Amino acid sequence: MSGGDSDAVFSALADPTRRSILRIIGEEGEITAGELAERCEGVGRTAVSGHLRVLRLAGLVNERRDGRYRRYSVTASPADTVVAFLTSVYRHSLEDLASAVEDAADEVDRQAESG
Amino acid sequence: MGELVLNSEVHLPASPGEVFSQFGSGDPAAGWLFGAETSSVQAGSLIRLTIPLAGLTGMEGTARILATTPFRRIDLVHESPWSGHVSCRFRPDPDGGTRVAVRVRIADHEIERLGVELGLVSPTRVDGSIALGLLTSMSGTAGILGRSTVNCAELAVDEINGNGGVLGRPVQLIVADDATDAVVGRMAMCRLLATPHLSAVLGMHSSDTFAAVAPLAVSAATPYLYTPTSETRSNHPLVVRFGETPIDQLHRALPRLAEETGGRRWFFTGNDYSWPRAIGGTARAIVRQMGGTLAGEGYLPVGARRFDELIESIHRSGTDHVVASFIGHDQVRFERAFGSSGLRSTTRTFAPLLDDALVEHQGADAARIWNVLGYFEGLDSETNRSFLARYRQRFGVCAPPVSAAAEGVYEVVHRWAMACHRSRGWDATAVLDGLRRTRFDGPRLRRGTGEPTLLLGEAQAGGVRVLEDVPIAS
Repeated sequence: MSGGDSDAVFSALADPTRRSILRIIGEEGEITAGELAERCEGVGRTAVSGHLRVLRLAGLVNERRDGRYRRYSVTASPADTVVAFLTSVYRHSLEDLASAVEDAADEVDRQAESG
Repeated sequence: MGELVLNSEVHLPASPGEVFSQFGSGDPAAGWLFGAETSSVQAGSLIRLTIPLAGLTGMEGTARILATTPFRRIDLVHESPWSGHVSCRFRPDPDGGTRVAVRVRIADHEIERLGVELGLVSPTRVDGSIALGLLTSMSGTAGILGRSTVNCAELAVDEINGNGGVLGRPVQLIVADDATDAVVGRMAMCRLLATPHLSAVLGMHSSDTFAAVAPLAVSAATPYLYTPTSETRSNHPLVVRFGETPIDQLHRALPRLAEETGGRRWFFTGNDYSWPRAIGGTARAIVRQMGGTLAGEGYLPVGARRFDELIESIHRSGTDHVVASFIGHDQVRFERAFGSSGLRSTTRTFAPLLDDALVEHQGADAARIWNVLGYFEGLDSETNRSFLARYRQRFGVCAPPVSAAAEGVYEVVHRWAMACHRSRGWDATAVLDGLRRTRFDGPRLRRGTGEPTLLLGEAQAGGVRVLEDVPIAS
């Protein structure tokens, strides 16, 4: 999978609507934002564009200009995307743990200095 | 069969003891894995976890501790929203810090299933199979019941396929997650309805999602079988609701509870959508009929985190009884806040979604809460013992308890197969007609009468104790 750090992949895949969008794009091969919005029951066009931007920044979706259209395709196989999701989910939890422990250690240092 | 192995390691400036003690704290700042909530870090303990997501509710899931060695190691099995083994090891570093190594093992078939459940992949079809859809909540507030629901559907499908399938074809279960959200539910339902060779869709989710997806099933001319508790049993020809209605659940239980307490005052609360409000409406009518009074009423949105104002107004109302219609994790959080406020000693609770799975999550917070449903694990019958033995044999001792909603799905899958055989084909109208006439010899048919009844249950340590039978009112 190209581009996209684990945090961006995590945030992108954490949203169920974005996961559905990814599946639809994968099944279509290539799709325009307008066609995609028609396939997404109950999700507005603006919201679909926002979701596409997040997926693109995470490196999960490619954008190709074709005349006045932009066409979207996926960058990885669905199985690779699931693996990327799981990897990012567990890594994310450990990064949070590390910051919590470091914050606590800093707090102890501060108290030691002031005491 | 292969498996995916993920390894991550972090170095932390704290001793193994300090890092170990972060586990199970319930503090989300420590990460969803270590900051999960558990009553005690020991083998067998249940863990509730919230994976932080965009949106309000987070992806809620459950895990269980398999084994632990203090300050050295914790082994877990995650059961929802996906299943896998997680091993966390703590090694002291010469600099006084700790290396935490997390190793996650997830079976290949689970990766495919997870892809399908997460909505990332369409499932690979079994040759010649007929598809049966299941729309349920594997994540979000109601995700607490997801794993046992999928387990029960799989158990029924395995039993049907073990007997030669339906009309000679294997049945393939296709699961979709509504994430306890009606918009996600609509997209998931659209995907299910596009499945080739689809016979019917089972729904086990909130009535919010029901209202959003039922019209989609109707316009696709696909039978939609809604199994959990619901406002009414009135049906569209293509939509069958099997679950307990508010009048079924309340007509006998509320007067019985008032008899026990000698109190007259009632407070109604729950999540703010149609079903809890329907429970409130029916409860109000019953209370009026028995000469009781309404002490107060208050509802909170799905995924609510703060219950203190609500608890305060219950306290001020001086009520003798509370009817609490929260779903999944919200019910657990409400009962915890209620328990720690001390109200439990003066106020009895009826909770129309309480079942064995929720009692396991609530522990002592659930003590003496009542409910009426068609099934509790403690039901004393040969059929039920044999059903539970098959469930444990198939999914292991660590599998979550069978919730009433999950057992309902098990029975409806079998009734659907019987109806297909009876109508000798897949025609939706004929299958639905057959479904309404079938009786499945499962745990809900009791005591040789052949008639389904409901059960009044009381929460206690380890599950729900069955107190007595309750006739169906509607």
